[in-house]
Amino acid sequence: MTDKAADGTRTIQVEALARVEGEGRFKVRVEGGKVVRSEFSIFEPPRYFEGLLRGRSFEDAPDVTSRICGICPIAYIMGASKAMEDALGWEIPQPIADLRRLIYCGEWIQSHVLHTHLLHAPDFLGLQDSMELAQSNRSLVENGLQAKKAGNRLMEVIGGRSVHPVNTRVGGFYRAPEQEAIHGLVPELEAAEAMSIAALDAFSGFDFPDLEVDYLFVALRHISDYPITEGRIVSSEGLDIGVADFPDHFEEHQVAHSNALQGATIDGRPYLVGPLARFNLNADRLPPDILALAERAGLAPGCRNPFKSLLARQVETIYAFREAARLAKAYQPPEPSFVEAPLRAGTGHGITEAPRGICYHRYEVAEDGAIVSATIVPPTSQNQRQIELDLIGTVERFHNLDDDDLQWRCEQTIRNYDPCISCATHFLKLDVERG
Amino acid sequence: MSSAADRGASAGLLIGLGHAERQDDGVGPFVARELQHRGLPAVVHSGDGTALLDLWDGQAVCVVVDAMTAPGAEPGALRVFTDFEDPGFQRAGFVHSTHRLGLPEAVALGRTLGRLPGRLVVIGIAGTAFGFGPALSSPVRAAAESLIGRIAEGGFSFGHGLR
Repeated sequence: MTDKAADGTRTIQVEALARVEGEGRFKVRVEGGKVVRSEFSIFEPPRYFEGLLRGRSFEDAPDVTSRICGICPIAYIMGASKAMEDALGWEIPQPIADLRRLIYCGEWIQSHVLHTHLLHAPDFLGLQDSMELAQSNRSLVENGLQAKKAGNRLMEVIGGRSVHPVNTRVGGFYRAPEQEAIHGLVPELEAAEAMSIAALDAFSGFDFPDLEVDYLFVALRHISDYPITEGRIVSSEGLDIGVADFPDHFEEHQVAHSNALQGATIDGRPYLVGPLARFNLNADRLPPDILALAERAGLAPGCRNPFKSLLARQVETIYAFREAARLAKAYQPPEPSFVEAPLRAGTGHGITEAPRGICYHRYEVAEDGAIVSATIVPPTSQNQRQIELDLIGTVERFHNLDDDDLQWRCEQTIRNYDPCISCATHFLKLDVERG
Repeated sequence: MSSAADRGASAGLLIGLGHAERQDDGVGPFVARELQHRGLPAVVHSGDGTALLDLWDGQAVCVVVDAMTAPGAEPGALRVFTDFEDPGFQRAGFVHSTHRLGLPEAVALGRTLGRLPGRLVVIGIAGTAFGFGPALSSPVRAAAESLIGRIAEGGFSFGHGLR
């Protein structure tokens, strides 16, 4: 909806943003091409998961927190499990860690492919949705559906079902999948990698809006692997800390216009987590041929164009298929399928790379395993202030566009983040006032 | 008179969509489970549209039962859709999530990509309570039980007769 006031102020209002999860609003006032006031508001109600966990058994944390999100339950299961294992002093054997990485590849694939192929690609082609995309580029949509199906299969075979898996627990897995079941996934994973490379070629032909943002990138970094389940926290400014040091360097604070806490560095600066941050901080951890594919597609290390997050997601999809096939070929059922040890009181921290970026968990447990306190910092909360800044940058960079086109560009900017607003509490009503 | 189960009921699949712990949103799973108990081919599904395409692909007949918000409809009112260009289908309120693709999107994608079952019947039951818990509201439960009886008796060819 567009209104033009007598004083020349214009208001553009979007009642609900499609193709993101949750509800929110962006209000901006523009004077002479400059944004003088902006608010990115998440008005989804608070969900109180951290309070809900207090007093419950440590064993409940992965299953309860997985319910924060139907798109990235593995991120919550793994983050909570790792934090509990840290608190309890349980060591996870490599075969269990490998199986965790394998199912996590399934979640990256499910989440990334849904977003790149069905939710974000239409933005770059001037299409309203995936149904229009299917009419104009049938093979791209079919490709995406098949790739997503391969991710679903990984989740089902290892986790018991594709949404909110039930076979995971603190210490590992209730039951190790049969070797043949995992080996049987390899042909589908290899075929899907080839399809994903073709999709990256298709995405590379998109017209990426010209916008550079001076991001502070934050991601995990592992000694040898592209980070998914393990690593230290690093930044583009040289930060290099252990997972337990997260609260000393990052914090969340409440702003009046949003129900989701906003993340910032301890000195109050916004930062970016997610595929673009991971790629920029870990490009040397990708297999050389996949990095070459990224560069051929127009995504080189150092990229600061938020619209190219689409390419970063697709490069990570290719990697996830490669890594999943590698792990599946090498799979032998871990015996036992989980570890456990006597309980003890303690505090533990866990961070993994959710599809949208690092997700932090901290738990304090009592001697009997009851949860005393819980803190969860999801990626969309961490990115929330940066989304707001990107929107300001987009409005200022493209303020000469007419209202419809500017609104389109703003929505596309938000979808660069594949925001999961249910994780951050939950998006978009857009008001642009032009003075 | 033999029931559909007695006849083997091999001619289709019923998919009950919804969340069994969100009151009337659980009507699809309720119908599916009751029909499973009668030996009929029925499954419960969360409603993710991309997975629905895989589930119904290749089926000769597929009946999807789902709660709908259907503004203005009486609670428990039942609507049968076989014409998916019918604007009423889009307005029925088969809401899955604001992020994932749901039933209407799966139907639209399936039509474009040629991935619909041979015959697709969508049955919407107007819900009134979508809070927490497994209990269906009285009108929705009554509508579900009536529907279960008709499907169990008539199998999956009933879609024509329900309008």
